[in-house]
Amino acid sequence: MTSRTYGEAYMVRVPNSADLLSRRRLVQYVNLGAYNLLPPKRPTDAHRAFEEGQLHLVTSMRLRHDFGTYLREGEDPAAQRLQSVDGRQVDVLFAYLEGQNLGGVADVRVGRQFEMSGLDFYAFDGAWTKIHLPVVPLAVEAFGGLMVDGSQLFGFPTFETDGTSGTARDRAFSPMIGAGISLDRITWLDARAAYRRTWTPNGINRRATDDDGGEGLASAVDQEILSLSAAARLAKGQITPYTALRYNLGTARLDDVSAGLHLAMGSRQSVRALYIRTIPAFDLDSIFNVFTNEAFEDVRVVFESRPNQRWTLAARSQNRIFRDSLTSELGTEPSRAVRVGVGGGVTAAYRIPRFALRADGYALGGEGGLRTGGSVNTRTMVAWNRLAIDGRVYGVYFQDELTQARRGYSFAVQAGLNVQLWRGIHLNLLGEELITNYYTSALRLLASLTVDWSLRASMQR
Amino acid sequence: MSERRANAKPGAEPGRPPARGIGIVLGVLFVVLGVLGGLVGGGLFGGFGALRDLVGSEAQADGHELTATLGVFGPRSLGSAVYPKQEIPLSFQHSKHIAAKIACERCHTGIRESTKSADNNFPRGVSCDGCHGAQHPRATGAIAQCELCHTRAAAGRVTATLQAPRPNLHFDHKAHLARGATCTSCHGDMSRVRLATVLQLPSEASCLTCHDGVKASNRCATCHPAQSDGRLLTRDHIDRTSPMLVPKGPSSWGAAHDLNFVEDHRGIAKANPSLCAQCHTQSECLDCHTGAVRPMRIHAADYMTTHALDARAGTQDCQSCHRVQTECMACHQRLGLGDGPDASSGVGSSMRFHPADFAGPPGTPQTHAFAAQRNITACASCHTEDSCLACHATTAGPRPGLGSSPHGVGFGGSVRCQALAARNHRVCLKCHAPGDPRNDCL
Repeated sequence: MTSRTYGEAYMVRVPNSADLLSRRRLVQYVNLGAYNLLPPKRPTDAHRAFEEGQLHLVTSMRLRHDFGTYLREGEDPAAQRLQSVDGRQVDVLFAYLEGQNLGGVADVRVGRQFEMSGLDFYAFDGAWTKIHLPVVPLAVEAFGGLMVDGSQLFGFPTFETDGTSGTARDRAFSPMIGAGISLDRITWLDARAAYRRTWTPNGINRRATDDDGGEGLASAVDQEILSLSAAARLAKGQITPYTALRYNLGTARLDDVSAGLHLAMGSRQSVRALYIRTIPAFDLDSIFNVFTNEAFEDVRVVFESRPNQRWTLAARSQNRIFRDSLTSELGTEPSRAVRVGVGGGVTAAYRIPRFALRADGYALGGEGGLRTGGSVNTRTMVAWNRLAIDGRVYGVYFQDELTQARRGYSFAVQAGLNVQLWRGIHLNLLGEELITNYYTSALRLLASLTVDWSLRASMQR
Repeated sequence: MSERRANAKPGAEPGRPPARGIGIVLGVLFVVLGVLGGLVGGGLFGGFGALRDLVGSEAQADGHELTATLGVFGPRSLGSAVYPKQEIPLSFQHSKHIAAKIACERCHTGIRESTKSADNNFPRGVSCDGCHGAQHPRATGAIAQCELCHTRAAAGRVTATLQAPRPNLHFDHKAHLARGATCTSCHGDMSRVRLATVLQLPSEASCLTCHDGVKASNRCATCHPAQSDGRLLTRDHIDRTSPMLVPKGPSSWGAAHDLNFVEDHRGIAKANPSLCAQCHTQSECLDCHTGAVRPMRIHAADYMTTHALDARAGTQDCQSCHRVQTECMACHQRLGLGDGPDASSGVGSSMRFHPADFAGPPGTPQTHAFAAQRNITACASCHTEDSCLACHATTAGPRPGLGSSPHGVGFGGSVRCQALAARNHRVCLKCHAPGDPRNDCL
């Protein structure tokens, strides 16, 4: 059982106003896991071997409440939206029974679970199974259930695809089915292809309200995607190429592509190159899908070196490519068809047994404007490593490309303590003084208590 | 700033879960339970051996590090996560002993029966006595030869100063030897080695020559200690400065946890999520991606003012943690941005967010089209579909607009048009009337 409590309080100044809104929030995570439910097969064994299969029960719940004035009452659409979409206190993040290697071939999960591979980002109530085929090095997956969204009593909106959130349509039931096939038991290559379809059938949504207020929804697909991912380990791990692709069948295009290459030049130097291409994708119920035509691309290269045990140095190049094309209806010509936002940064870290320092400097240009800055973070451990003293300095300069009014700087100094009150109980205290060209002073305080604990009970025959 | 809620208005939202009071009570209850549990699990009863044996406790060190407020690094003690720092104040030459045809087992006497990495397989002093004379204990009248092996004997310190913490590794010498492995299979050629150090302990690469999934299991937890749920134990529970077991170098599988890994981890996480799952629980993903506390290193200084620049550069980055239509829009509308009734910075306002040529009646400059074609997600953080429909819906549509088509060149009848219409015709009917011939791209 793991319990974690966050309590925080701070003030936010409303833009263009002297109003201050306070936020005093308590967030409590409770994770309950019952592991190794099946006993060892032989009385002499302390543990059941992995090959013999195992069952676990895993749950995570979050309770939260805001005691501050930040969320004031209001009649505007925002107030309605907040109440309808995120106006809850209890989230069941996941709760499932998991079977590992059952019968030597099957992995199973039943209950609320989520998928977070990057290509897919959703939660559902249902079942997932993966069968490891005995002869060929393949595994097949099948999964299905009801999608979780923010309109449900114990649902949460974070994993919900944007497009219909907060609307009447959002309250419809959305079944989901999917399947996948992946390589299995191949040590140098991982690969997986998967398909997923989410839809809102009329049969179970006769009482759902459409956006126009009419009762009942015509059946339609909300999301239908194909995904492919692969990662190889070549030259004894020195060369690792990887890629992930998602084809959106609803918009008929690749809307998420990433490809990377990691080169390990010995144990002290490495290079990572990463290409990312994404196109915004929404629930197919949203008209936003028809507006978006251009991809957003990112090319990143990172070099890292560890000249000795104490120092680590890194240099980073990050370049964003923005494309504009002729608008069909208005015939508006872009000033430039392709723009590149050049950016990069350098980082140095120094670590010895009781002290660590990290210094960063960076600059990013392109769409949005210029952002450049630096930071220094330190941590010093004292009192038998029970007390960590943190110090940080941040500086940022920015120039908004759209308006001269939004350019300036901010400079912040932070000091903090992390006290190990007891094994598993930590108190974090943090104070920050912020100076910007808008604020002459902005003191912020944060205190958080984390309590991580577990009980373990077992019975030996 | 990841969550937004409104104060409850009685009766304002009948469908909303009436869980507020319940949440407060449950929250307080769990806090109390959490603190009490921490005291129990954390060692309040540490002196009561019987109770501790019955209810074991283990603090989860990873959870101590609040990702929101701390850097992703910290002080680190010497040694590695697998082989903690050793201190062996001995003078010894394996090379000479091997050259003298002395078998390994003659000194490492219990090695064939050793089943755990925690076993002390260092030679005992008495093993040396067979050749070097009786020194353990020293025979009456014999001359002390401690300095022959013990480098700190002059200071009166001998074996008590040897520090060789057990490796954080499962290893069964007996099982390996029974399967035909030899000493050199794992420890390499010792014939040129003087004092053996952690350098002579097996590397992951040498283990994987046999642990390939065919000859022997290649599950990480076969060798690395794991938690109850099967995921690897990446850090010592007690020592906050112990090195963490993190991917690096040739054994990182592309997931080297370097200084920029937080910014770039999505590449390998998309391509090989099962690799991440070897060490990380789903809770750890949620800690950041649905986190309750602002990550100060990522959102440094006055991010409230500067986040608009990042959002315009690529809202997809923001979306890895924030939902546009729930978190972003709710805050923007509440603060007077957007085009709602409370808008004070929207279209027509002197505080308007967009430049003058951004949008307007037909015939006026429309640079918003470029932003919308490239990054409609940023638009959706303030605007609802109604903003778009006002101009882009057809004049005969259910919500009549100005008929300004937002579709790209060649959209009508295209594969994309057909793909959308075949799967979800509801969306077409937001702009087009049911009898509109442009609905017939199918």
